[in-house]
Amino acid sequence: MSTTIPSVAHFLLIYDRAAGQLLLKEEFATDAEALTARFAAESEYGVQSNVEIIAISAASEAELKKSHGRYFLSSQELGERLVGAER
Amino acid sequence: MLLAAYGPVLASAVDVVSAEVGLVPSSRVKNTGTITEKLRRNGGHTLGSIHDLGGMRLVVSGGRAVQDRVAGQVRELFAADARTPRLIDRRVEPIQGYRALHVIVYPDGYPIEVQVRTEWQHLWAEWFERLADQYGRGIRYGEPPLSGGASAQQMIDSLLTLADQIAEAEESEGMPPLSAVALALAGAVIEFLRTRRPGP
Repeated sequence: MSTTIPSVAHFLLIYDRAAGQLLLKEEFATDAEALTARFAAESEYGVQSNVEIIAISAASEAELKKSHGRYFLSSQELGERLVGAER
Repeated sequence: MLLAAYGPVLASAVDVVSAEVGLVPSSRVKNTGTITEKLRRNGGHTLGSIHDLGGMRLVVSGGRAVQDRVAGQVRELFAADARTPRLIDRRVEPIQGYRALHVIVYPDGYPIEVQVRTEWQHLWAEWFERLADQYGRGIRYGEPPLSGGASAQQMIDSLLTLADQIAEAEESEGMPPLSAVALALAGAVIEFLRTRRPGP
């Protein structure tokens, strides 16, 4: 069994739930830096029910868009992705 | 600070899963807003009782057989920790249509929720979560939509039926195509959303 650890990319996302719009996407070298940036953003924005502030890691930005497409796609696009999945 | 302490534990757990399962999960420490929401919704819960402060997500190709295998691998990887991993089968007990396998693991005593989803479960969940942004996060718990009235409720009902259709299809071997009924339901919801442009 392989023990190679693939590289991981780290992001801070700020997402407006009501508008369904990504307000900010910033990449960091480490998860710790992304988490620190998240705490800073939370201080700036405060805790708002309509604003989601996320420090998140994934294999790449493309993989992040697959695993968390909700932050990047409209409701309609997400539905079309589901219907198109079997083709 | 508890959330900051989660970072290195989660990163280490991601490395273990990536190396041994061969898939790189996406991972996050739960954001403050959703922690607050969860504490408020589940009155009496404490921060320590939330088992997904740290979370990973794996989306597997190949349907339920692969999902079972990967969830089993994750359990094995953390079986030697002081606290035994716990499997939550949301296929047997779905929450408002949401189905997945969740494995709660406890590296260094920190609970981390590993979501293992099939592609269809994932695409459905992402769609429903997005609609919850639009119509109120309470729809994930059976509450009525905060906007959109009866037509939004009808759309949500269609999505719940679609989730059942997907589950029915996945219970058979492999990845059979979605049924005509499921496609019609999804199509109706997409059409509903199209008519509500330019909203999200």
